[in-house]
Amino acid sequence: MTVGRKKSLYVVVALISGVILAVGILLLFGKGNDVSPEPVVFEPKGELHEVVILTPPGIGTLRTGLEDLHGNPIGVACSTCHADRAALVDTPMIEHAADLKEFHTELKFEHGTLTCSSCHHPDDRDKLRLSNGTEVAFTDVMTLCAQCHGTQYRSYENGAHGGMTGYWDLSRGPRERNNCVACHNPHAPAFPQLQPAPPPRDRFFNPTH
Amino acid sequence: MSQESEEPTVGGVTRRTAMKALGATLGAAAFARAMVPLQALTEETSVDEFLQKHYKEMTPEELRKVMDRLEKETLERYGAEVEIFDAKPIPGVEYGYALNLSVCVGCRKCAEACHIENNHDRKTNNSYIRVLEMEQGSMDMERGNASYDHPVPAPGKFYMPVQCQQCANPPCVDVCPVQATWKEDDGIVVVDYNWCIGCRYCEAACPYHARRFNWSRPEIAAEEVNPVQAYLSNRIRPKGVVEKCTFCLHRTREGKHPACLEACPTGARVFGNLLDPNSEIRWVLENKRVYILKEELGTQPRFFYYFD
Amino acid sequence: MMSSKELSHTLSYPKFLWRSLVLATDGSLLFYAWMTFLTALALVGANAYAHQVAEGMHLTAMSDHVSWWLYIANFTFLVGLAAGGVMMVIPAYLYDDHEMHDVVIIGELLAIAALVMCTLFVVVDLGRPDRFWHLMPGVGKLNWPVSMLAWDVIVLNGYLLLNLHIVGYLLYTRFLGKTPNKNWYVPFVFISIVWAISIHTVTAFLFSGLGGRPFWNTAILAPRFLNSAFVAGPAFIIVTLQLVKWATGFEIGTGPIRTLSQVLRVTVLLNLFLLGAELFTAFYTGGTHASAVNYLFFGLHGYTGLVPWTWTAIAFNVTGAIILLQGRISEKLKWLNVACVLVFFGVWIEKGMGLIIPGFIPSTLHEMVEYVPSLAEWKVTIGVWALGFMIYTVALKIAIPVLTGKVSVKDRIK
Repeated sequence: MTVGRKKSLYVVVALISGVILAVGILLLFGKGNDVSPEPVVFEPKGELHEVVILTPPGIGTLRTGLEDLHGNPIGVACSTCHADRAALVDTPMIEHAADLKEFHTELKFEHGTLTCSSCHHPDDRDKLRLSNGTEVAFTDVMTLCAQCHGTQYRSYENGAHGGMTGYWDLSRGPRERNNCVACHNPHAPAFPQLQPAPPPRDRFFNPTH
Repeated sequence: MSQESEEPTVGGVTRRTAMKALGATLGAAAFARAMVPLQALTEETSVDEFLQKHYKEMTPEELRKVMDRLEKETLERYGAEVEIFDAKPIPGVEYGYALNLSVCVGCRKCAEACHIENNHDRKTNNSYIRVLEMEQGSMDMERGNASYDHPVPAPGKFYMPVQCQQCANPPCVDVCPVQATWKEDDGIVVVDYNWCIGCRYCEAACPYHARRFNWSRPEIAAEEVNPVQAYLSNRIRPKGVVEKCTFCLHRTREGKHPACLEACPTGARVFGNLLDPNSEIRWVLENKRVYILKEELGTQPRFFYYFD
Repeated sequence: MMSSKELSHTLSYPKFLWRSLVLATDGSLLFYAWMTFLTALALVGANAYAHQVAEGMHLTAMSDHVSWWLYIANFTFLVGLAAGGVMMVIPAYLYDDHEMHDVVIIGELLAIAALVMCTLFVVVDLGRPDRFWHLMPGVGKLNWPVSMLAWDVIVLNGYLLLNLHIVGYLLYTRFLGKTPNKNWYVPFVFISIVWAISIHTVTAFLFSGLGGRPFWNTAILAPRFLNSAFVAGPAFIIVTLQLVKWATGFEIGTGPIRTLSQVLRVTVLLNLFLLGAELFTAFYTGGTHASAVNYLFFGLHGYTGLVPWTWTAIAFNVTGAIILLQGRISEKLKWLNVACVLVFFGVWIEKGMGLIIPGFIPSTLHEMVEYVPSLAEWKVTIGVWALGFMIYTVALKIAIPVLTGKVSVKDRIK
């Protein structure tokens, strides 16, 4: 072998050895992250804290805008007018919000093709009713929403709708959830538009195009 | 060059040597003048901070001393009394986070809550969460826009908040040259802010724009500082280091929800323990049409998106 | 082994160092003017850097979207220059080109100066340079073998040590007037050939290993890096050899320049071919993965910051390639020098702006944030380059007289 060829051989051998060494080291140590390789087993804890559903105070009453000494809103029970006043008792129930000319004129209605008696009990205005006639108290309004909005209710039951504050780990603390009507106005349930929090002011972030 | 030329000398010193000495002195003086701005640093650094060990190599006593020192520094520099603790992972927990894109309205309350909870720099309105306004019908983020400033939800758009995905195969952890960032047992990828050298390789490596670098010292008014702080998460970070979302580990490792979830007014966020078969996050993964961002990169995120 | 007339190494090595210091600080008016100019630039850079360290990196124009630029762009280019500077080693040692032997040291000294600049560019890019010790294996926590940056720290420092040893040994033995012992430098030279390729491959892997940046995540990145290193290195050395001859009268012969220009011819054309391959892959497929290339060449969504630079670089490289295709180019020195300058700057633009930036624009969330370096960044960059030139000038100032025998251990020190 000539001297030049010998040198080329040295270089080739050095190159190949270097590559094998590097690859070997990398494979040996491996690209790691710090997650432990043994499967971790979850052990359910004992006692769970309570989950409180925050129902809006004064639900099922006509709010007067006044508050009592404890700060609770003062509301007038529906039966105050609807049970005693003969004129109301005898007249058939108004079925569409557009027909409300004398009372409840501030009501905005946007809930599909529902009529008033779809939810409100025609004989007892202090109650709601399901589609099969079962009476439902106003505080149990979620049962009424659930009969049509079962998908959302199922998600809600499994903690995937309506948000929550408190603890994800109920063995360490309680949780507060929302009632359907805490976020959704039952007469116009769609979420209103809102002005978002201000956009990011990153360095040199000036989208103009 | 080896022989000295016959130059006139004064006391054995040639003119050439005298000029060289003058030049060297001037140069040294100019250099000292050039370095004057560094004087400002002596107030900010200490020997303890310089020699501080890596988080994983400190004993609990050493860590407590470090946290006491940090509390003192926060009081000196920001005028706020804080309590820094070391939040340890809960055994048997691996965090997962899901986001319902059908329900997110893009209000950015999550980003705002993150900003407040994590003691971010007020000047830049920094937050670990970036909400993209996307075109309905397209998942192309190039048509997304993070700077929208109009009532939401706008017609024809949907909203996708992006934050650290706490990947199971995180590229940021692989690339850090000093092991300043690593994945903990409960899945959260954390940064030791006192070990990070600020090379920003992790920021280049992250496919989700999850990392933030402190280009200057964070500025927060004393009354706005969140005093409940953890060493690895929301303590006020020094300038020149990288930081990221830690799933609010100072809250979640106590069993509480992260701040972004509590702030969400539409309930689009679901958080919990992936190892608990009865958790809400597991229910979402098993019952909803869930997907992850940039799945083809193999990062295996622990942040899931779904439509209802 | 030592004759009674020879000094022992404990006496002759300090003499060597002292003579080197004298050589480094003694010279013509031109030398002093050049060094003073460089010192001024270096001091401006040092001051700007001191401000950056004291006040934070917000003095640069980098952002969370474009988090690397001028410093890392120069770092990348200089790693290439360091690798390419050793280009001459291959013909000299592998192919027994004896004319090259004498000028190989010039390439190795370039590698040393370039490596010092590389290290400095990394240091000025760090947010916390005071935590530099975290990178030291054993003392700190170097993330080797997983992090490519850790690999880079090791290979760059190793290469620096290699070159320091080879150059130091050859200069010292020449100073002593002895023939160098082949066992002390030839194996190291062969290692340095392989190592030169590895430093730039590791630097390329730094970028190409990031899946989240599709512009970089391509197999062609390492070949492109290496090839552009072998454009910039020879181009710089061809011009430097002529400058050295002009300034010191050091005779180099026509062989080295001929060899280097032959190499340059091939690598400049290969550079254009590799660029063409990238362009085809991007534009033929189209889609979002071509966004960065679109931004580079034509602008994207109204952002056109890099378009003039890209086309200038292409114009430089193509013009340089055409000039180099002339026959007997090594004898037409004026044309050769024009071509060298053109391709050197063409590669600088291509590597710095054409390679680093489009990795960040558009960002990983496909946002567009442009970047123009701040004055502070330019000052620091120019300061580091000035320091590198100072080191290179001083190194040549020492090496040439020692190599030509003008300075040796036999001189008396007055």
